[in-house]
Amino acid sequence: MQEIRLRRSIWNVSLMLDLFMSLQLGRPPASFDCLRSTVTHEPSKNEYANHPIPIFLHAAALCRTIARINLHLYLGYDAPAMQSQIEKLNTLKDELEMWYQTLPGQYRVVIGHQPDRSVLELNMLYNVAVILLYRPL
Amino acid sequence: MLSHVFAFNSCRGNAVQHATDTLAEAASAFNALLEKYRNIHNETLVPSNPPLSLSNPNMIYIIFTVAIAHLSGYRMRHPQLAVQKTRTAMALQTQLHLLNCLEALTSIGLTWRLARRCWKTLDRLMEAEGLKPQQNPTASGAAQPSIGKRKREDEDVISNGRRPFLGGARGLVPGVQIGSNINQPTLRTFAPTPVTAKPMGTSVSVPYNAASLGPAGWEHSTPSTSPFSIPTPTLHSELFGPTDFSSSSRWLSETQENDSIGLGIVWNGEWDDQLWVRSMNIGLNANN
Repeated sequence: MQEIRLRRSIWNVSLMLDLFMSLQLGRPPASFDCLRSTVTHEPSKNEYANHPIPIFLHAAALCRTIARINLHLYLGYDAPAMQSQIEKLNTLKDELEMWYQTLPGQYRVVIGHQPDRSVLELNMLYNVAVILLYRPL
Repeated sequence: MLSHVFAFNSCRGNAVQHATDTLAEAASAFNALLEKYRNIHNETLVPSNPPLSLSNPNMIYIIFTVAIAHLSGYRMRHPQLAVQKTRTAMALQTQLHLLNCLEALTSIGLTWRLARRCWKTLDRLMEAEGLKPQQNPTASGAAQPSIGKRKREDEDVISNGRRPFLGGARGLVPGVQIGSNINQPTLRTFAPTPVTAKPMGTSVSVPYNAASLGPAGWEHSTPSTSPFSIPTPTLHSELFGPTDFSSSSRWLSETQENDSIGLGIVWNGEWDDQLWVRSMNIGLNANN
């Protein structure tokens, strides 16, 4: 179990680094096939509860959504259910909204409360995802 | 037929408007978070919160992206506003957001050269849009509270006996033109003057100087890109003799030589995916 978690953590970190590299260079990500695949590993509630750093799993999920935004909207890759721009936009918007809805309250920024650095970074990244999704093409 | 075209254009116009509003909202929210983020890094001197200069380099891309979003939103929404007051308010708000981004890049620029290049690009884009405070007398008034606030923060730091932060606009001595002695390998120290001793709540009239926000603190940085080789103010005198202080002169020559960065990038107000890549490639070529 420990090894599985370790492997998944390494994979998630790789995805994050790959995403930022891809965004900055404007090149397709190395994890191209994984992002196009409809079969994904979504962490279960149990996994979130047992993980030593649950916010990391949320960050990884967000990065995956951003990577898909990059892949489909910016790099122009199609997927079976995402052929037109509108379909892509709607699907990715739903994904992003779903991610935000499942984000626990302690990881959201509330007015008058000084959040942790990691929470701030997560929310900043979320806003960047919204910008990338809605920016004029 | 014409009514269909009109309805289509109207729907499209609404969709674009909605997208632009959402974009601007997200960019504003980001700036609020960035302000908190900078406060965490600058005020809490604990190991878990290292200075912003040691932050993840990916933060540079994020900040730069948001800054471009601010500029794009401004460019798209500003001409549509009919009321002059609303236009001015929007310009001021955008300006404050961009200054916030510039200051964050300044801090990160102490470590990462890429942040300096982004700072420079953003500075020029602001200039092109007429969003630099000096260019707009009304806007400069709005930017001053922010500068005054930084000065008050410096006062607080001194009164608390904590080390003043030397990066960016912090640690600058009022009345001294930072850009004028950028080649001087002197270690800047904060000297409280009557100007900085103004009571809280009064804004200090500081003319906007691009150099005061940017390269002022960078002259202390090393040419290395490793975050582990960042000299602290204590280390400056130990590691760098007057002749070894090459980073400041290199930065100055970079400024002069790499004017092509500004000239090579012409922004037409549209979102440009290649802006980042071109900026980075030019920087890489310049380094090679």
